[in-house]
Amino acid sequence: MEIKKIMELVIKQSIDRASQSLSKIIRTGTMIEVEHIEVINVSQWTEQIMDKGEIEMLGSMLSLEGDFSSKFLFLIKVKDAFILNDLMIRNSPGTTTSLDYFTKSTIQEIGNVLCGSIANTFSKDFNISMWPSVPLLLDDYLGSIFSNFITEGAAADNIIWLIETKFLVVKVHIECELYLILNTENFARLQKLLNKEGK
Amino acid sequence: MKRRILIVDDALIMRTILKKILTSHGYKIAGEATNGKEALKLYKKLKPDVVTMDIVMPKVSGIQALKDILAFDNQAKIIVISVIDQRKALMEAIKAGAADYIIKPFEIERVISAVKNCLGEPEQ
Repeated sequence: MEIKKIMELVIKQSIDRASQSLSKIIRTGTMIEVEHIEVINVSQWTEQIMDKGEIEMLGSMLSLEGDFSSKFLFLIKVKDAFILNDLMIRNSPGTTTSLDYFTKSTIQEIGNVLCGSIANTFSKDFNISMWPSVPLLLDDYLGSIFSNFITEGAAADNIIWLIETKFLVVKVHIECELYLILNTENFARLQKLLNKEGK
Repeated sequence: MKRRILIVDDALIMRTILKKILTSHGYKIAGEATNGKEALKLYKKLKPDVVTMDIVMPKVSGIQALKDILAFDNQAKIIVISVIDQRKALMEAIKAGAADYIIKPFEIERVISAVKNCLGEPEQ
């Protein structure tokens, strides 16, 4: 099977699990859609992101370690993080009004749960062992967060596979994003693991 | 007398949620630790009845802390609470001596049932 098809299958399955986990943790329906799975040139893409302007965001960045190492980023606008924090601690949306340590911890933990769901799918459904690192909270402008993420996840050849998803928290209409950088060096390994599994 | 629980998790939000769940069910929070190293230190000092332990934490991991606490007190009751829902992690925790293994995100009832089970309290 072509590597892109394999990735789509694995990622869609992972994202479904992540969506279920997020719905459970905030007790509100969420829909996550995979927007792009593509090979990108790191330099060009970083330039595009920098052009998006200065939006203050919160990010929860994790490394996935094991058979198929990759980088994970959960991204949300600060004002939307307040609402997610309220949902998480069962407050009415609008209660949180400032960016405190508590809200940051919520975003960090949501990143942890989402990343964990992805790792669990890889492991359970595809027998690819992966586990998440301690989440790192990024509180910065969009461009800086992406720059950090890309630098951390980029392969030596300046080419990465990027999975971009958008998700909608239904009741309160907030949008968040989730990115996964897969190191191309791991693809041969992934194909081998999946072929072995298929036999 | 209220049974005392030590919560070990690097995320403030998880410690807060667990604290809320446990105190609303009649348990007392003996203390909170944010990594495995602190967990051992607090366990020795506070001697809680039960410990809830995250796995992936900075400095010393939950599995290592679990082993360290059990080396100090082989009767310690430790419930692992983690996002990792994988056979390898589960086996590692059980082999190290975990009393139970709960996957995040969890249901309140699952946490309370695990604590009651550790303490030998009847489930209602």
